[in-house]
Amino acid sequence: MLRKILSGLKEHPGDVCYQIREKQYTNRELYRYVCNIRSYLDRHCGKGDRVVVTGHKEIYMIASFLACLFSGIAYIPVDISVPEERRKKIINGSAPALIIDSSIEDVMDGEDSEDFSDIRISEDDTAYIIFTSGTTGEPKGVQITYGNLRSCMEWLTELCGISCDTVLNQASYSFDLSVADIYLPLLTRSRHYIIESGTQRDFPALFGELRRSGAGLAVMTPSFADYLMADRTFGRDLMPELKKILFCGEKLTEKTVARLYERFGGISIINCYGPTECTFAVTGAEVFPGEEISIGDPKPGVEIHIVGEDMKDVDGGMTGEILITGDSVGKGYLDGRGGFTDWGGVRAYLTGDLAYRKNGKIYYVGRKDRQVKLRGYRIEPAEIETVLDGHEAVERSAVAAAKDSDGKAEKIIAYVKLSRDREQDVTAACLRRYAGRYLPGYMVPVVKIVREIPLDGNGKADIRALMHMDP
Amino acid sequence: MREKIIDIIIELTEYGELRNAPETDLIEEDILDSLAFINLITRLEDEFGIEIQTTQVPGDTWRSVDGIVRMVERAG
Repeated sequence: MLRKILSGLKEHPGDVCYQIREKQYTNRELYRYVCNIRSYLDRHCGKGDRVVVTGHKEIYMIASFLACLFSGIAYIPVDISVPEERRKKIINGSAPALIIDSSIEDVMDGEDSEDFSDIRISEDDTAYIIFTSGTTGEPKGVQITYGNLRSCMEWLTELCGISCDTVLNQASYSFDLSVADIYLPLLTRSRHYIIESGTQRDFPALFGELRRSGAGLAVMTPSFADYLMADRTFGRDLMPELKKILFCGEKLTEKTVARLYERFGGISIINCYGPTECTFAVTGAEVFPGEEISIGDPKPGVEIHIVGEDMKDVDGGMTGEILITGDSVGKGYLDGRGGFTDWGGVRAYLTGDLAYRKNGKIYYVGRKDRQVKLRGYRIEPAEIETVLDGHEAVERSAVAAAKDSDGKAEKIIAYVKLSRDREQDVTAACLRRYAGRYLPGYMVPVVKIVREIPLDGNGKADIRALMHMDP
Repeated sequence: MREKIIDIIIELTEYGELRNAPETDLIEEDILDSLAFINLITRLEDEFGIEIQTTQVPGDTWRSVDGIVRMVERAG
């Protein structure tokens, strides 16, 4: 994969490979930036080290990711929106040899470094580490190897079947959905077109970007598509070249598929499924309106098992937990805990996702545990509870998702019981601001102060009772 | 109309403090997220019998209750 990317950069120097706003970058420029950053990395760290790459979505982030991969260094993408306290936890948890931010642009634009052709990363080396929400209250780092990434991208390139096109990016680089739209363009002589996070709440600017992009493939979450469809002009007239949409990150509903078909006659919709622990996508297929939405077929090199409590495959058609084996299963968490397991001598990842098989296809049902997917982001309620419980005035908190009629999470609600002596001086808004210091925006909950947190028979917070309780 | 709009936003976001602090920046504070935004458009259209073309509405409109009130008044 890296060999192909390197050849592409060198053989088609004039091609535009990256665009943000009106600013375009060619392969020649990107290659020069990669050479310069790679040479800088050589002076400051070595193969096997970790490097945090942080900031806004800009060309320096892509150049840094590539320079790390070519050097056998694992990169850790941290979006600018990650609050300071969480950033500190990520840095403490990953012990990077170097932190790259926008100041690397001086290195990129500096004196030209020598060409290179050696690729130092091997199949089992960590390519990147993505931090996701953790049940222990701390974000956890998932390590994905170069072999995982290569295999996933080879399959996705085949599945998407694009060439010399434009790939629209929605996701932040901290979110592994972006892995597809970072590497697909580089492997298919296409252009990576960025939608900045700041633009996403500004419809006139956002739609201007969609129109200007000329994208043939858009990679996004179903929630983002629903969001765009809130405006009637999101359709074929706005994006005449759009041929495909690749969905991943959360459950795709029949309603969203049907509406997209109405807006974009002849569109091809690909639905993928996969946890961060297994390189973002392990199943995928084209889906059509009027049919139950399947998560598709496993990629080559991966097996999907639907298992019961006894860890054995369930009988055909029964609902069970998705267990993944094969070459997409990541290297494990940085702290070495949980999730990854030995399954009859085979390395596996037990997802916590429930599904069933029908006529050979796999259908996603939901979560086995409390984990929530909001706008494609994975949220462990326990992490939010740990943050809120850390506030001096909070006696106890319980966090849950309010869901719509399709079972899709709409918002995160934190029910908070205050210590008796602090009930007068702490408000919900104040707790929300407090949570925002530690958690990314999508994890900051709506706070409801309650007099009691009722418990269920197991001594756990009774979420159902809380949802029907008046504050 | 203003009170009605505040009621709708509170109902959709469950951010009750908005009543006492209507000047709150709904975007900056992440109160009006994308899902609440979609629902808000539908509710405003139904409640006030208007049609909102979001691409014609400057992004800053959605930051404040006042901005949304002005937009609804213009659309009415």
